[in-house]
Amino acid sequence: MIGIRTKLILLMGILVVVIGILCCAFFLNHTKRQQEEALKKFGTSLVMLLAQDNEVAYALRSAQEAFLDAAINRLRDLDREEEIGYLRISDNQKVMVEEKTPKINVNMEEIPTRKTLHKQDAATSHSRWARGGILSESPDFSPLTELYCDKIKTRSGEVFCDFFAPVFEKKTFSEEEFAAQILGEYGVNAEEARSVLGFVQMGLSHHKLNERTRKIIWQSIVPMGLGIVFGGMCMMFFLTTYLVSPLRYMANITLDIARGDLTRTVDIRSRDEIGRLSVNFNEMTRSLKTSHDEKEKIMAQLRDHIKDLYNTNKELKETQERLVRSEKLAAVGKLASGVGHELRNPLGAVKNALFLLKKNVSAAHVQSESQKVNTLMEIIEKETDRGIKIVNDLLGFSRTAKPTVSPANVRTIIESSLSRIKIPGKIKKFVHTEEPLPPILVDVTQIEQVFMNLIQNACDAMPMGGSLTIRAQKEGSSVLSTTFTDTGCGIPDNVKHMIFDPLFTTKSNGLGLGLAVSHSIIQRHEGRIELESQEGKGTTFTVKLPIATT
Amino acid sequence: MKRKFLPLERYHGLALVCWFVLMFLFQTSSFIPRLVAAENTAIIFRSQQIAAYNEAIQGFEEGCKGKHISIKTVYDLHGDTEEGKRIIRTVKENKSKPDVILAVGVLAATLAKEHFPDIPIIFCMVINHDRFNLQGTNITGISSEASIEDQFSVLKEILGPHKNIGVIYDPEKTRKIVAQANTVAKQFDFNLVKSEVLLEKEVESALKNITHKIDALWLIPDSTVITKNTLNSIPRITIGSRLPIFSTSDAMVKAGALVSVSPNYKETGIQAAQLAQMLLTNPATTSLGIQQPNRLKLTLNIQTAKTIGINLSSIQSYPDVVLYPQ
Repeated sequence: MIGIRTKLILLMGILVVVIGILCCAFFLNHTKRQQEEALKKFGTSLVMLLAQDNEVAYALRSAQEAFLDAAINRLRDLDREEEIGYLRISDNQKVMVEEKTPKINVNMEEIPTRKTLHKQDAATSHSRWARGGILSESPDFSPLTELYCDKIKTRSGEVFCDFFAPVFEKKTFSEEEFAAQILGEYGVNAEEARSVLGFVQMGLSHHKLNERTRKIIWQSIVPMGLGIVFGGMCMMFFLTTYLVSPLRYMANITLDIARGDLTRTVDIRSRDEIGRLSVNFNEMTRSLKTSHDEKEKIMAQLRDHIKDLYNTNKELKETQERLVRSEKLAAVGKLASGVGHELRNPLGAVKNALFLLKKNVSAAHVQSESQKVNTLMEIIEKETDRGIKIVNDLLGFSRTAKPTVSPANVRTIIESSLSRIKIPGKIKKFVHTEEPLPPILVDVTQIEQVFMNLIQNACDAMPMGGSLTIRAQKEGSSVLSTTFTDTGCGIPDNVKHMIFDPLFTTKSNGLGLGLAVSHSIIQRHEGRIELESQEGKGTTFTVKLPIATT
Repeated sequence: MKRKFLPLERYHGLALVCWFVLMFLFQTSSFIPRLVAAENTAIIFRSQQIAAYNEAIQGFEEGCKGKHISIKTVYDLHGDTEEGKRIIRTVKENKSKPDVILAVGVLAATLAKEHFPDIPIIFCMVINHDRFNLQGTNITGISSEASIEDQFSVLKEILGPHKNIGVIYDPEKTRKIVAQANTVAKQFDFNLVKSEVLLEKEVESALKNITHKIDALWLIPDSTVITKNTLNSIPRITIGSRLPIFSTSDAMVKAGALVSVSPNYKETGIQAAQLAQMLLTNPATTSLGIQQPNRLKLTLNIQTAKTIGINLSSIQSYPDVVLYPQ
């Protein structure tokens, strides 16, 4: 992309150069014309002096060439720069004197004489001076009676201003001629009636003129042209800088604004279009900033609203989940209570009956088949115990008794829980507790049940063995955190969110009530139970309970 | 010795005689200048041999008759400065000085003024005498042009008032006349449309430029404007545009101008003779200043009037009217 500055510099550079050339050409032409005019005036003066010289008239009248010497010498004295190239004085019959300057190569035969001039085409335009030295152009004059000037060029390349003037027998005072013209017809043609004694012809060489012109070219025109170009260039740089700098400055500021910095303003205080542009630009930036601020304000409000909405939604969802869980728990509890209550008594009766049967059979009657009967009876007892346990669990789940809290040491609860669970030998257990641990206000029985559930689940997750790490530590000043970490199979991500739901289990012989009961108990203690699990690596349950305040 | 004086009564008669003798001598002395005037001589310098000058000289000669002024010689300067100087030097060398000099034409007037500072000089027939500084204690002159008032009154008689009058002039030569005319034109309800030229060749274009703005062209005696070439071209252009030319030269009327107001040359000579007599009869007065011509003549070109459609009958009845072509 070509910038404005480059374009301006190119355009104005061309313009300045063209103006410089035109000025030089004009000045050169003018100078040449002035020089030519000066040469013509000088030649006219000289030739008129010679033509009006009384001695010349006398010499022509008496046909004495010798009388011309003094007049010619006077003329030569006036020609200080030796511009006279040739001189010819003739009477009406013959050429009396013909001279040429030795320095100038000119063949006098090439110079037109009076006769050849007289024969020239009448349509040819010549410069002619009327009386008084005023130049006029006329195609139809008689060269015999009036001064005229013509430019001639010889075969050798020399250029001359050729002056030709008649020498009159008598010269009339010009004002008297005018008076004769005004006062009557008799004087009008007086001039024409004058007799011509002869002619003087003189050529001024152009070599001095050319020298002067060359001098002027080198001393005036070339410096002037360079001055114009240099001055023009300076002005051009100044102008382009003056015009483009504010634009460039504004472009940079525009870029900053585009990047978001709306505090930038243009500081141009001129009263021209650029100044007005900067004022408008600043106005626009201010408006933009105001709009942007308003937008930011609205956006912040919107973000707050979204955040509130999100939190509300989250709370609503949690509430809904809790509600669903509560409803589910309530339904399950009701079912469990009913089923448990209905099954508990039959199962108790079965167990009692089995106890009596076992006592009688073992005494004497079925000695021979006692081994087989004992085996069947043990199966019945075992399954009955299991049914009782299930019923107890259901009843335990259905009971929503408010915990009876008392200060307790968590390490004691952990050790109690571990002692009540039979942990396989291939599972290594580690217990780490911070000392001293603050007491917690809990229902020890219920918390033991929770810990037992978590320990049992950890053991179930490691059928091939592993390690169980139980860690108890303070979290802040109000929470005691107890973690149960196993290196078991872990819990898949897609079931993590259902793990605390009642009747959900991943175990083949589980009822799905352990974690649901544990979650319910911890909630009742105003604590939290959290799950972190990575499938294939293990699971960590964290129980957070409030520390007892003294 | 006691000397006795004669008693006056005894010489009463002698005293009376002496008284009469003294009175006679006193009366005689007062008549001496008049007696001398009869012996006054005048010489005439003529710039060149043209009819107008000759008419003026003829008038002077007639005017001198009976005024005790004898014209000694008429010198012709042939329109040549050098020759004029030579002739005047010859006259100066002559021991018998003239009592008055009549210079006819500008060359004669300027040379006479230069060489005869102590002899009363009367000049006439000098075109635009203002240009030549012809003023001095011994210089008396008669203008060769009618006054601008006289010229404009004739113009108003022909054209009527509220007209645009064009004038072409060279400011170096006739600026003073045009400035004066500008003031006078307002008195006659004329608007002077001026056009300046510096060269003869500018005259035609200047005239063409003002042709449509003017009702008449006033041609003043300006040697840049009136030349051998323009003498024909100006009437050609103006007649083509049906514009009348008003001039101070009957030569212009002959070339095609409508009317000219100019002095009667012979009467100018007679007026010069009257001025000479006044100067000679009162030697204390050496100059009477520049006088306007006593008598003017009106030259009308009937043919031009017919061509451009102007009725000149109102002024044809004026005295001293010359009609052209005759």
